[in-house]
Amino acid sequence: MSASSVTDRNVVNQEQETSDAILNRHTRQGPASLERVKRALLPNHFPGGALRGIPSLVLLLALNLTSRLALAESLNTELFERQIRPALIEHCYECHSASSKRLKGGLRLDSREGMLNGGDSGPAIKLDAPSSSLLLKALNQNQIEMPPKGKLSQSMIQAFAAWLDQGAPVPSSFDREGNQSAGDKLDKDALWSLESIQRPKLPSIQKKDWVRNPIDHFILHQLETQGLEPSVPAATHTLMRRLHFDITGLPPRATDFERGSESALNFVVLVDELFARPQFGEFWGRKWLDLARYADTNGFDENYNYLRAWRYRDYVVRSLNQDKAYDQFLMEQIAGDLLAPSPSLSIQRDRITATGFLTLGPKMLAEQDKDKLLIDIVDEQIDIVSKTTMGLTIACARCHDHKFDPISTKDYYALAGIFRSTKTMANTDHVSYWTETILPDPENEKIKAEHQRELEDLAAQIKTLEASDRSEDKTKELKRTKSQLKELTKRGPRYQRAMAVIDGDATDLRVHIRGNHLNLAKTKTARGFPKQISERMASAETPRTGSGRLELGRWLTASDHPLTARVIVNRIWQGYFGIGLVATPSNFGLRGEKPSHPQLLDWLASELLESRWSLKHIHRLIVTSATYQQSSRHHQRSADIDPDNRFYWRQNQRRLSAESIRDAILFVSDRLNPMIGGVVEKADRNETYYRGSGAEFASTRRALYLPVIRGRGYEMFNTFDYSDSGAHLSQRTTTTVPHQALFMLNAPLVGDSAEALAKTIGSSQFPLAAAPVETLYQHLFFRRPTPTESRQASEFFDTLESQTEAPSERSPLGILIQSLIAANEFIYVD
Amino acid sequence: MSGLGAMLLSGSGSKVLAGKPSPLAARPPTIPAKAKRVIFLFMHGGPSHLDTFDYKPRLHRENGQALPFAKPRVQFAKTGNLLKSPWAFSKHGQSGAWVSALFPKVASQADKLSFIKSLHGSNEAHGGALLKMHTGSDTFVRPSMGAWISYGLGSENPDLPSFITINPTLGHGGVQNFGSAFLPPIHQATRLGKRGQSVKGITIANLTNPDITGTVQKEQLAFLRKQNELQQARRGPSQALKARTDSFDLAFRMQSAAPDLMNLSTESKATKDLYGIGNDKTDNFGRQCLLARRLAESGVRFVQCSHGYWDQHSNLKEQHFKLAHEVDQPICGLLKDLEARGLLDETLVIWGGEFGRTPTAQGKDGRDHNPHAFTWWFAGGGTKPGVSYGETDEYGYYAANDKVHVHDLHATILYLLGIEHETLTYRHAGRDFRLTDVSGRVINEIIA
Repeated sequence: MSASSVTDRNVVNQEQETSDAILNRHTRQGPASLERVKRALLPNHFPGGALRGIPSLVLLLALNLTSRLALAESLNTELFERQIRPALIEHCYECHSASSKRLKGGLRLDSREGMLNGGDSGPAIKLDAPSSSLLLKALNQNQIEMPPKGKLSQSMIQAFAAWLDQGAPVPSSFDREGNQSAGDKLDKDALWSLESIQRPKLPSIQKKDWVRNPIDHFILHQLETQGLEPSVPAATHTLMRRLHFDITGLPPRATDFERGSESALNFVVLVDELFARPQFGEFWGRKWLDLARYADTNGFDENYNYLRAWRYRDYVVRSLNQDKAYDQFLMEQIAGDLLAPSPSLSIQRDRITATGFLTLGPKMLAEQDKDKLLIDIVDEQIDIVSKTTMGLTIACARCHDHKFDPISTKDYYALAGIFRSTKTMANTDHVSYWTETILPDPENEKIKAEHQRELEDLAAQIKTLEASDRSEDKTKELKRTKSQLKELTKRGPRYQRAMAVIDGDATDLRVHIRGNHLNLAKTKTARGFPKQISERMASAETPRTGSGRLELGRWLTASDHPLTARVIVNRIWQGYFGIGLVATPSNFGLRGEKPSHPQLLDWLASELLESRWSLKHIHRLIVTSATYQQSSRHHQRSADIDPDNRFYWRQNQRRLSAESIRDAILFVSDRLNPMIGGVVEKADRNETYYRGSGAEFASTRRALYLPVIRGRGYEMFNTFDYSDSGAHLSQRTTTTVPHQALFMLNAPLVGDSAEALAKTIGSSQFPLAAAPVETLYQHLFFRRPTPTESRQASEFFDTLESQTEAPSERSPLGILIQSLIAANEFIYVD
Repeated sequence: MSGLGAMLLSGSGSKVLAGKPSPLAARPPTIPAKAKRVIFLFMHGGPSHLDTFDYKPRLHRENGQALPFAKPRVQFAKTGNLLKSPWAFSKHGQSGAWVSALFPKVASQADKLSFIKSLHGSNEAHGGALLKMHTGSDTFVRPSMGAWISYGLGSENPDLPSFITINPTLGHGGVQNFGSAFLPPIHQATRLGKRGQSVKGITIANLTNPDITGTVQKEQLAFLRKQNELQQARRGPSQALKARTDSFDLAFRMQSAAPDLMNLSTESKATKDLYGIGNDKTDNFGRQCLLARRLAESGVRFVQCSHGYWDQHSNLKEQHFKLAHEVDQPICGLLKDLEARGLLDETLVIWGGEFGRTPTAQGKDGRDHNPHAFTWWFAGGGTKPGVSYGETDEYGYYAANDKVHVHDLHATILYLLGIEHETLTYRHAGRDFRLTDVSGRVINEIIA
């Protein structure tokens, strides 16, 4: 239950959300209020200069500094961009713009000048008497009735009136370019993330002995500029616990405790050991699966099992463990099936499996408008590919030129052509089914032969039965055998398959006007890539034959693609600090946050490119930096200067993810089944709808392997903020809600695990009598208890032992352990 | 109000987090609110508007004849000729509202209702239509209407969730229909039971611990608090840690309070009878409705009850009768009870399904899905009683006059709660999202 909660400031930019909401509320409250807001935000920005009215202190406080300026810039024309322009495009430009087939009434509404000059009936807008503007009269159906297809909603007309009252502000580019696309009119300096990646020089610093690797130069330079100091290094055991969780998603073993007490713990050795563990790929693979909206069912209307999705999951884990070059990793997921076939069977199987990335999305399988079904799938693919690899929200351009980013509708349909030429659906039956590909396997011949033999056996049986007498029994048997044959024929041989796409007929698409698949532009858009990005790259092939996925893969992984490397190093950084250098990891566009350390971001991106896309190289650089190894303790002076720790004067304390919380509970009690890959027991293996009972969630394998059932996910995950497997997830939120406390207090998983650990500790393996509390703290928190803690724990234990009322199912030690698991320290990484 | 309700409303929990307001703290509406909360009676499967509230004499007269105009471009299944309703319609109350013989008890409350008979959506399959209805989008993953309302207004009771859904279906979009998508997860619904489950004994996950006594758990909490405070003292102040420490106390309070709130046995026999509780057929939905009233009364902002499965491709006569009978008395009871307690004015009751059904027959005794026309009704919460807005064509296939889209419905619900739908936005992936996307018109005609 959720009476109260707090969202962790480090993870979500909640404050900004709030300020935007406030701002929006104000912008809707009419011109007077809007003016107030503008003045409060930008006292010097308006002619007339003097601060009339009282600046809204509340508002100023609510806005954080970085977002304030950006907001103010867009505020002026926000109403226009959000409401007026879309309405003009939708209702007016067919007849009143440069693109009109026949300009009506000599009126153009695609520039402010055009509106002021007006057409045959005179000026469309009057700035000195806005309410008597012809445009407004026409919209109100007063003398002239526009748009001809029917009056706009009252709120829309009010929006026009408000906009005219403000003096009809438009962005400067609007006058120049009319209704041309955002992609064409982008101010080339505006989007930092499209600039080519330059390897920066290391900045100068004072405190040279603090530095461990170049990352620290960039961080320290900023800290020193801000008058901040880095924190002391974290204590050895704290750091060990942090490294274990950050690299493998699991805590260290209590048996490793002594290692941390050695005078010269070799960190490099420890780090290498951790990166070599398969749990690294499991933990970081799960992060990739968030981006890839991985699930084991379709979700949406027909919640079919994605029976073979797990192969993609295992492919991701395997690839990360191998430190597969990131360009290859992407290439395989976009066009693995189109690469020259590899002689290695396992590589070839991986390449096919990898394209599951494109087909794991939720699909409206029972959508009866099959054209819509297919184009919706394309849209979902564009969305997932562009957000995951480039940190761009291209999908907006499905219906209109992107309002903020340099993506035009044409760019969108150029990409859409590539995915529309790709076959994702095997059929478009009433409930449609997706494509699956047979995996190469030396057994395939045998499997086929076996199937053939089974068919022949049945056919022979049928023949015998038909020749025999027609008793009731025989007739029944005949019927049964015939249906078996039919079933077997339909099922085909039991080849191993993967969810994978294949190339379909290559086709270019027409722009779908306003995203409507029934309203198509006259000319086709050639398959290709967003122009504003391509223009900045040395070479970009154009897809000619085939779908163009191969070319898309090459384009995305070209060494001069400005986004691909930046986006992935930022995601890795986020994994170690809870927040990216760019705080909006899947939005590197104009509406995303700017990088806190742009040079560091570029340096890391250059390192990635120079290491031939080795992700582990970046991981290693980060965890061996002094920046990463700082203590996470609070420091008042630094907190006063930089309360959000955007300059990294300390490490961030972070809560574990839902999966790590569950896995850690099982791990410390030695209940975690370490098996890697494959499908968990009791998973529903039904070929159609998911019909599982939820029994599969009782598995004690790592959380990664629990099936992700869209629409009815594992309740524990939902409680701890992993709730949306239907869409790309670039950042888990961290909430604190009472449901989580209820889980810790009452869930059998916690109680049973605590009891299991109690039994282990109670057995001879651990010297309970000597120092039970000591042992417990090493197990659960990887540290020794303070004397106060020891005393309190012992007292609590004694109280439990002396309880004489109704006997509890749980042992006193079990209850003590459960309480410690419930403690903050257990689910936070310092 | 019972002692329990009063205790819950005292809101001791809200003070704990002083310094950073809870995201569920009650927030004032941005415009004058007519309703404080919503009870949504969702009829899953698509009840037939033509057999319930949308009377079409011509359909009756031309039974068996061909539809004189084109069917939609996309249909879910093939249908044949016109099929008249098996049920007689008559006018009810001073308002003279048409209600079929399927809903005799609801008909007695006709003067409390305001009908929208020209609703239309876009998706002809259950999943898409459910998502459209609940989240405004059948294409993308979006927050549900209850989550948006929770985000906009918070909870009236700091010790209870702001959004509770009772017996929802876990298919057809599942939790997405009551999820929070990109809104903070605290706004997602707390689910009680699921489709097909008896309301008797449904509960919140992990609400009780059968293995430990309450006394032990109290001691456990005291120890836990000490541990957490020691850790915090070592590390320095942290809002997140403090909030988590406090969340255990809240959880414990809820754990004590919620079972009582969900325990209907304290209600009088007269009240239970009013809701049809104790009668085999009406017991389950009656319990849902009574529970909804108790939750609403205690300050839960949005309560959804679900009932199904109104999907009569065949067996219309038998099944629609059975289903209507199961909800008729409970709904009537809920409306009467809310009125008697003075809660109807501030509680918006909504009745409807994900789409309507075709006037043309599927088989001999069935109707296909029809997203092009359907009827919902509102009661209380500042709506104008005894009115009917919008019309379908003469056979009820398409919404025809004063058409109301799902977005308009959402805009109207938000308006009644004191929220302008265009201002309730959330910044996600670089864009401000709304429940009503870029559309939505408030239906002023049904607002008092």
